[in-house]
Amino acid sequence: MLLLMLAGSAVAQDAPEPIVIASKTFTESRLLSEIMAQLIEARTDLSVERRLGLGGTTVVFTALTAGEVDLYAEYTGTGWAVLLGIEAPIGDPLETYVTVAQRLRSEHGLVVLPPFGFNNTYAMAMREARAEALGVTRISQLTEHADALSVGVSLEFLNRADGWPGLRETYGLELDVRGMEHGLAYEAIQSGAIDLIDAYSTDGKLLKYDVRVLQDDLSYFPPYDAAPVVRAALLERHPELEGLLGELAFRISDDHMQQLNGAVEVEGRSFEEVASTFLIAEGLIGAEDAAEGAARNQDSFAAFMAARAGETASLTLEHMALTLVSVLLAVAATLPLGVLITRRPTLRPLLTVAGVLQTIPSLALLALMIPLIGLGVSSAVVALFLYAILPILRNTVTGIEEVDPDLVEAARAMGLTDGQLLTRVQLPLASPTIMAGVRTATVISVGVATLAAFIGAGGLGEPIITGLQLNDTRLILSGALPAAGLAVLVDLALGQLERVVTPKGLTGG
Amino acid sequence: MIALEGVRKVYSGGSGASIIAVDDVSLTIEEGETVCLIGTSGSGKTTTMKMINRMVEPSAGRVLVGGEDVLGLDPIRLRRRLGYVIQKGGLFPHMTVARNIGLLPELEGWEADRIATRVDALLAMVNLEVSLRDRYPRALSGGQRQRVGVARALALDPEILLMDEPFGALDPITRAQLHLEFQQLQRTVGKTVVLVTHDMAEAFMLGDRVALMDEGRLIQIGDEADFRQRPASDFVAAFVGAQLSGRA
Repeated sequence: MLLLMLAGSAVAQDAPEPIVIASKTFTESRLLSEIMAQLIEARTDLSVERRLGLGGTTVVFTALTAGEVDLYAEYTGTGWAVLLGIEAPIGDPLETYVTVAQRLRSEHGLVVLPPFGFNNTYAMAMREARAEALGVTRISQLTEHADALSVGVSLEFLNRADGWPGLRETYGLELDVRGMEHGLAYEAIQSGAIDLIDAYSTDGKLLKYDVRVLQDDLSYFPPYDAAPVVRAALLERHPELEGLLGELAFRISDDHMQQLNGAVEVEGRSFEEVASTFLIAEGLIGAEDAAEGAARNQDSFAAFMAARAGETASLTLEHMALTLVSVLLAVAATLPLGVLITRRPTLRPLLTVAGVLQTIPSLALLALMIPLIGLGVSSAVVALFLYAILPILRNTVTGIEEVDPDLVEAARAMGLTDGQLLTRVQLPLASPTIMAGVRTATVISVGVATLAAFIGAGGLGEPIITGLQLNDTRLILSGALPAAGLAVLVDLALGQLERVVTPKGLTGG
Repeated sequence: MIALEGVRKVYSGGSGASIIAVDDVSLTIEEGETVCLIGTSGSGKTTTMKMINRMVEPSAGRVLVGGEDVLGLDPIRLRRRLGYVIQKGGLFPHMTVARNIGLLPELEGWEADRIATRVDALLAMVNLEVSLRDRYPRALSGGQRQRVGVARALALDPEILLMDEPFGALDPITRAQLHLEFQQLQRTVGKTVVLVTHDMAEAFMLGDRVALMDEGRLIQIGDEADFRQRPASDFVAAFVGAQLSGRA
């Protein structure tokens, strides 16, 4: 949302209006947009505004139709099923391209330029040595070796109608298959624990591992041909762009795209560098253009951080707000609960429940919130709230129970009511312990809140996660450094507060 | 006046067994009288005292304070009529001397000026400098803490003072000093006092009468002469003898 607003305001302020190029968050999308951006910068006098990693499909497409973005690269399969919402199964690649292009034009005023030439669909990849030994190059050949193969596919693929179930039906595959995390699947196939995995056909990681992508000889997987999608209004203003971007048509094969992705993901090269190397090698721009572009992108880390200072500040504020609200809610709910537990021993098992909550991995807890509450800030607040409960609850109970029993007895015998005993004796004496629990909860929350970006709650996790996806260390650090600093500051500040709330008689004089 | 009439306290232990902590104790404590409850650990003396302010409720029999059955009284109101002093003073460490002493008056809604005046008067009564009022308990000596504990118990000017081994944790010199001060204080304020102790010499010195308990029962009640000249049993004679020979 913030990014959209920034994008919008940038468009409004700059004159002449730059071409705004966006991308989705993953490597390939960003790389294609960077390639288009450099091509336009090198071959026209137009300036380009990059909004790379803007968001998911819906966010980018919405920004495009709203005119906040001028172009990005989209996949025909995504256009068919997501953008146009066509429920009928996808057929022939060309037919899909034509249908998507016509309907985006008539319904949204968008022009789909000729595709780049590769098809990033699902694929089955087999361990090279195994494929060689069995002589397998096509998926249909797998039926002959059904007993000899073990298969590990991502959980999403295992359960998607257009994933494993359909594949099994189409090819008549009866294989022993299990679901596993995608990163693990690559390691497992490398070590020989499994023979076959699912993959994206242009995934750069396929290069890192010794695997063979099998031919989809029955054309089961839907086509995901990538093509530039441009606002028709932009092409009316700058008709030369149609021809220029058309020069990219059919230039990138599946293997080529895989190599370009691998250059970023496996070799750790920057998007700018991979894009310019590609454009020079293809003779689409001159080396001097690339040097100019490279100089522009060679900002120092300090300059990078300085340029992001405003963004970092607002993310830090978001982060603090997220943490603060969650911890305050936790204190409000947990303090009375802790008191209640000390009064009613039958409620003690609640401590165990809070302990179990704490053992749920943070990402899993955040993921659990999505079906219950949905994406966004409220989900993150609830998850952080649940995490903050245990330290505060445990310390409240411990703090109150550790008050000298003689003092409690004295207070009762003097004629203090239960409430007076609590507010005059137990809580003041327990306050340092309770405060220590709040401090622990807050520091934990600052850390866990970086994961909140996974469910769209913002905060300093945003640049960290985007940076991880884009292999951009500077971006990761621009979130991680302030988050670590915040944790240290919060710890120090609350340590100070702990001393302030500690009753004077307990510390000295 | 306090009257215990056939008071019993039975705790049900595990596996159906029950423990008789106090067994059929009857005892009357007159207005202005100091009675010392003495006995070994587990004799039931502290439980007996705690039944007076309803910290423990009797299983059978009645406890009367000022002629009223304590079970018919609001325990909070009852306890504020009965000053309570425990070993080491039982002061709240997070409150100053003045706030410890002024706590009950504050809870009773007294105005600040009246509380301050009362605190200063009480400090003088227990021979403490007014300058100690803003100190925290940890900055006081054991004897000073105990004096503050007594002052706190007297804050609402209760009719009765219950004291649970009040001088137990003090060194002999401070203890002797506080014994004297207690006697002086009693001459001024003349409270009805129930004092639990395990020290026979202290009991004889401070008590108008001494009540000896053993295994939950009241064995003998009387003054020093009664115990020395007419011990109720060989046990009493042995108890008195053992206790007093130890301190030459």
